[in-house]
Amino acid sequence: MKLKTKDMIYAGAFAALYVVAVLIVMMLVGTIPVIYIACPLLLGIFCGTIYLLSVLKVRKFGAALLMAVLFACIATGFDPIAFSVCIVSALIAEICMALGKYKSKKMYVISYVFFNFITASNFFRILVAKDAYIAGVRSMIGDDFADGMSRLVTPWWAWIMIVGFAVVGGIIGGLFGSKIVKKHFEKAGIV
Amino acid sequence: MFTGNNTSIIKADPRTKLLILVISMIIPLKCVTVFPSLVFAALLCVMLFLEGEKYLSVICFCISIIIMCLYAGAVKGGFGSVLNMICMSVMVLIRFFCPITMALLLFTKTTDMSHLISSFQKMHLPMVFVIPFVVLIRFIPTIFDEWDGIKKAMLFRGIEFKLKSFITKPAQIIEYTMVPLLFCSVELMDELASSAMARGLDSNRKRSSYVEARLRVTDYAIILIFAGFLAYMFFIYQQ
Repeated sequence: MKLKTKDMIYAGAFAALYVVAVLIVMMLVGTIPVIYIACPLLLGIFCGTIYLLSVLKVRKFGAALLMAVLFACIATGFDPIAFSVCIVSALIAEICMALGKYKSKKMYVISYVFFNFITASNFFRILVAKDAYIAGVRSMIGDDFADGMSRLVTPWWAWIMIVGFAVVGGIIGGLFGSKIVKKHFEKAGIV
Repeated sequence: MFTGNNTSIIKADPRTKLLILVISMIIPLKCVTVFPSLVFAALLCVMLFLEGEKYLSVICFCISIIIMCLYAGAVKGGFGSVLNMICMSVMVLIRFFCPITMALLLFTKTTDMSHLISSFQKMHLPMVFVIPFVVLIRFIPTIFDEWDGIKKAMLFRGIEFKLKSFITKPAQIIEYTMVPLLFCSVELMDELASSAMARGLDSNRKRSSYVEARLRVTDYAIILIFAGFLAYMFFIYQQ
């Protein structure tokens, strides 16, 4: 099953919706380091509907991958670590959907849990290249934000926290999204 | 957005404009002093002017001069008080995003879609990437239009959209904003898909294009100027 032009258009437009939603949430919460760390959770809850509608509309290999690549092009700034996190998590999501033969609802929700790691991709970059990031923030935004950030990302449990946020956000967002899709879009005959 | 205009003096290739966009993302990281940033802003404004956005280019140049003056003032002021530091961080952010915004304006206001697609094809990118990418950048302004419409429809029925309700009723906010937005967008996507079908985007043959995407002498000159500026910045800040 190859992607047709129609599917590509759906993928691109849903990616636009996803990117806009992510940027708006980031702008709303991005000013305070403590909530900024919880971004994967909030984004996961907020964007689950868009992702689920997109993959349910296309139902072929490539929808989630295209969305992740486009998201990575715009939101990660071509950073190699963040970019590869995006692509790997989207590939795992694709495998999940393929295992469900593009029919099983459960597998779609599970695939979103993996897909949600792309919202945490920028944090993985921070954790891997910590010192360079803090120095960059310090020179660009200011000492206060940099100090708050470095206090948050230094201990080992920062990893667990971010992965946990991404997983929990994915689960909640996936369940919530599938509920909304069932309530509104299936009735209207869109998916 | 993405319609192109007829009053332009030179018509640069979209690839040139993309390169300018990339360079303007690197420049603010490299050059932190006032004068080179101003020179770069002037270069971008000249590009905007030559592409036909005359009024906009003058406004952009005035704004960037004001921002640079304020930034210089903030740097001179030092890091004494808390207020000063907040001003400083705001100014740094504005200064950082100023050239990027101008390059984005240049890219979005003066490029038309068919020109962009044909120049992407010249770059031998696969169609499976080109079509979603083009749809993506064309769709973003549409989303904001639709969002305005939804907000108006909500006001009509006496519901006001408040940021506060994000905290008090998150589930309802997501449902009541996302569902209409997604419905509008899906409708638009269907229309877009049929229009793409009518334009022959899904045929397997090589597409010909009404506008010819070609790098002309002016494009090479522009690329040379911008790349030279970038190289000069790297050279200066290496030392």
